[in-house]
This record gives sequence, C-alpha cells and structure tokens, in this order.
Amino acid sequence: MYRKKSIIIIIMIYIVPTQLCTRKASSIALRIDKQRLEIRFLKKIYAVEDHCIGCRLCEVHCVTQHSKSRELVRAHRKEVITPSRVRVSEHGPISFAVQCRHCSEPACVYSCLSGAMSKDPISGLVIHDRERCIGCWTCVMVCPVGAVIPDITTSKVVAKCDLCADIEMPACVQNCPNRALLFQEVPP
Amino acid sequence: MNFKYVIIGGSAGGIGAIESIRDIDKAGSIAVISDETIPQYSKPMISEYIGEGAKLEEIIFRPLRFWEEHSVNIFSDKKVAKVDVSAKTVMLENGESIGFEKLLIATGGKPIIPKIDGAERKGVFTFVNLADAKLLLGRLQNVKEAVVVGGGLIGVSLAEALLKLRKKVTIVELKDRILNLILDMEGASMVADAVEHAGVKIITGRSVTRIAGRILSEKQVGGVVLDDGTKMSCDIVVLTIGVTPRIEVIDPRQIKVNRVVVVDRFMATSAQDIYACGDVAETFDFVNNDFRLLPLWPLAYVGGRIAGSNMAGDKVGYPGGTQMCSLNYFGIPVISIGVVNPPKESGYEVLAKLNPESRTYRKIILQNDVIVGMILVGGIVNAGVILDLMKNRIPIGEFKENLLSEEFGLIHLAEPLRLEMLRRN
Repeated sequence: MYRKKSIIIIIMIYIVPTQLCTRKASSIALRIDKQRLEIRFLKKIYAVEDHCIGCRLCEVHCVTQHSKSRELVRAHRKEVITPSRVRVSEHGPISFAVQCRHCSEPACVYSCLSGAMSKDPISGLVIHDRERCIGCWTCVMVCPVGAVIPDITTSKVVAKCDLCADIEMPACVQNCPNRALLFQEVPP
Repeated sequence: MNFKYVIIGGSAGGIGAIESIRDIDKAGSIAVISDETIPQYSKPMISEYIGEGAKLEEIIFRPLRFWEEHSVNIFSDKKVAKVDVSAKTVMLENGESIGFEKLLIATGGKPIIPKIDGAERKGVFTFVNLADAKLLLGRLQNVKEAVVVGGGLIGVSLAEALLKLRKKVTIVELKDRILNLILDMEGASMVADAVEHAGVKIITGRSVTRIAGRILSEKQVGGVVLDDGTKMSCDIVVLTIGVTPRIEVIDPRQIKVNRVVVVDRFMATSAQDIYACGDVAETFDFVNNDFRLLPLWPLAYVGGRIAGSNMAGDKVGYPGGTQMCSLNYFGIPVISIGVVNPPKESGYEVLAKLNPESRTYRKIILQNDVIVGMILVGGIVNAGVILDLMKNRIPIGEFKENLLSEEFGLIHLAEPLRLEMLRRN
C-alpha cells in the first residue's frame, strides 16, 4: 500500500511543474517512507512452535538471502556461505526456529569487546559489524536465547539475524511453508 | 571549571556511564579525565595491535567522534592527583581543579609487578594498556625470544600475538596449569595442548626469580633464571601476573576502600554523590552472592551503565555479574562462567563430559539444583542460554539430563519459560 502511494507521489512530482508543489510532494514522500520504516521496525519475528514442521527451509533461505548471489542453488553449491542466522531446534515432537530478539537491553551489545555489536537508536535493530568483530565470542557467551552463531568458516566473526532490513519481509518468514514464523508488531 | 558529571577514566566503565547518562539527561555537562591520549580503544584488543598489526582505528571501541557526539568535554593526557570529597572537586596534577555534582571513579587497574631481581633492566614490559603495547611493539623488531611471566588471559593472548610475529615464546606460570582461575585441569590441559602445538613453550609450577642481563650490555635483558635454577635466554620479559585497582587518587578516610573501592548495588561508594565501577571497584557476584573484584571488560561496561543511570537520577540496581570469560586463542574456543573449581565435599554436584577425539569438554557445576558454573571447550553454542538459567537461578529439574548435550538450548526448557524466552523483547 505504501509503495503504491509513493509511486503516485513520484508521478505527481513529475507532472506538477511548479516548484512549490514539488517541494511539498517530496516532503510527503519522505514522511511516508519514514512511517513505513517505523512500522517495519516495530515488528519482530515470532515463532509458533505448534506450526513448525522442522523442515529447516528458514535456514536454507536465510543462508541464500545473506549470500552473494541471493540465488538458492548457486549460493549453496558455488559460493562461500555464512551460517544461517536462524536455527531450528528439535527435541522429541517439538521444534521451532530461533533468531535474534533484538532485545531492548541487549547483552551482546553490552558485552562486546570490540564495539562490533550496536543497537541502532532509530530502528532498534541489534547490528553486527563483521569488519570490527574479532571472534572472541563473548556475545555467544551472553545471548540468552542462543541466537548469535559462531562462524567457524572464518573463526573470526559471528553471524546474527539482521531482520533482512533491505527487503520487505525477512526471508525466513516469507519462505516458511506453514506460517510457523510471523513478522508482526505483537506476540501471537 | 564545574561540571554536572565528572568521570575519571574513559575506558569501558566511563563509556558505559556516558551512554546511559545521555539516555536520561541529554543536556547535563559531562567531563571525562583520562591519562591516555585516545582513551576509547578496546583494552582486550591490544594483543591484536601487536599480533595482527592492527592500527589504532581498528582497535577503537567507540569512534573518535564519540566524545563530541555525546557532548562530553574530554580532558585527555591529564593525570588526576586527588579527589577532594568535601570540596567536590578533582585536582589534576597540573594544578587545575574540576568541580563536580556527581563523580564516577573508573580509573581501572594497573599491572602487578612482582619483586624480581633485575626487573629494572631494559626489555622488561607490562601489558595492560595501549601505551604498554606501543612500547613493546617498538622494541619487538630485533627480538627473537620472549618470556611471558603469568599464564592468565593476558599472558595467553600476548603469547598468541607474539607467535604470529614468529617470536619464540615461553610462558612461565606459577600454578600447576595455565588459565588456573578460569579453567580446571582438564580444560586447561586441552588449551595447553593447543598452545604448545602452535609452538609456545609452557612451564608450570615455576616462577622467575631473576632477570639476567646480556653478556655485553648488562642493562639489557638477556635471560631469566627460574626458582629451580633453570636458565633460559630471552630478549624480552613481559610481566602478565594480573592487575590491581588504581586507587591512588582516593583518600581511604573519605571513600571506603577494601583493597578495591567498596560499592553497593547502585555502584555508589561510601561518599555521597561518588560512584565507582570497573576494575577499580567491587562487582556484585550473583553466584556467590557477595561483592568481589571482577576485572572483566563486559562487567566494567555494564557497571558503568548502572552507575550512569543512578548518577542521572534513576534508581537502577546492578543485577550482578560473575567470573565470565570467552576466549578463542589458538583456534580452541573456551567459555568459563562462575564457579569452575568447586571445593570437594562442599555440596556441589559436577556433571562433566570429555571427548578427546572431537576436542570438546563440557562441565556444569550445580548447587542445590541450580547451575553455578560451567566450562565449555570446543562446542560453545547456546552458552548464553545456560548463563541466563544461572542468573535467574532456574532449578534444572527435568532438563538436567540434557545439560551435557552440545545441542542443549531453549528447546529443552519447560513450555512457559521456553515461550517467554522465544517472545522476549
């Protein structure tokens, strides 16, 4: 819906040639874009364990989304991939997927030795900077849900959920075949 | 000069305090006094500065613009002479005085220098801050052999860094094993295997009694003599025995000091409006239910955050920390938390599983059905889930049998707790 509105506004910018209107329209476009982002930032991923069938498609699509090509087969067969940022746990009949909760009091950020972990003040996302990570894995030691994954391919960094900030819906949620992962503002 | 908040020390504790003060009070004036030029680097990363050839910008914990972004007046390269509690001022060595409404003492620690004959020779170093690292790096070019005295965290990290520079390294440790404060015999010997396999020589149960001079220049380090008479040649000696609190600016008649600065759960000292955190202060230990010195970076940062909140007018108690270390030296990941060497016959129960083939070791220490400590070597995934169970003193009951599984995680917890964790915000 927001996308449609922005398109209309962009068309308006082009067809209304007066300076005044252009300025007004672009400020509306900015405001709508910000609103869209804010709504996205309020959302979190929630696992519904009754719906999870343990197929691990979320893991496959997480790896794909964070690969170079973002193509499923190519990523898994031809590229150096990073570990999945979502992990399916299974015990007896129960299974569910766990990923970063983007905690309001993030233990990983408070414990990071290098400053690689930070909480973005606007989006609330807990962000990991691979370049600054030294792989001491102190964050692995303190994450209460076990959502920071040591990347043993490099032995130097960790991998964690970034809520796929550059696409509309996180890849794990989008590709879950049984709606066992929800992306919404309130817990189910 | 007067400021609402004055912080002595610009490392983990000071930075934590600034960040939490600014969450609450955007305008109150803040001054930071530090005897370092760029205080906001990461102290645990000084070994990267040596071994990886990392530049200063690469070991910076917060960006260079941090002070400006948080509207902090930074007094760098300035030494504090004295804290005057009754006048509410901090006197600097250059004669300036800075007044405060609230003061945070986050001066950190300084290296313990053991009394060794010959310790004044050129080529004897300590390894605690960036200045130490710079001095050491400046000297390394012509060094072939190094002796590291003390096989703790700092000693082992430095040994790895020196090895990367292709130096011949020997660690001399007084106790019967390296990393004795954070590991038991099994864990320590697994790490020692990896360290020795990489090429570092480890000598345990010995101390250095004398640092000898070089044959043609007596003032330069030429070797060490151990307590059993063994002589070893080396070009440098680095003393990494440990750190001790920097309390010299404090008058113990005005602020209560018990070897370290005494604080309460709000990080407040015995003097009104004066707080302390980090390696200079006590930390509440949630495992032992007491206050103790826990000189660890993450605890200093969190202590700083708590102090900052209370300085800015909130009332926030520190839930507490405990001994906790994660290390990944020589390719062997290790996590150690809480009580790891429980005294025998003292009501502790130990669960342990050693797998020499996969080089993994898992040890969980229980007391009254609650986890009070753990050692993980090799497989460290989900360590934080166990730490959270420790912190919240969750009775292990039905998941006891799963604790030694490397797959142990949220899935093994009872449904209400599991759901609460899964939906955590």
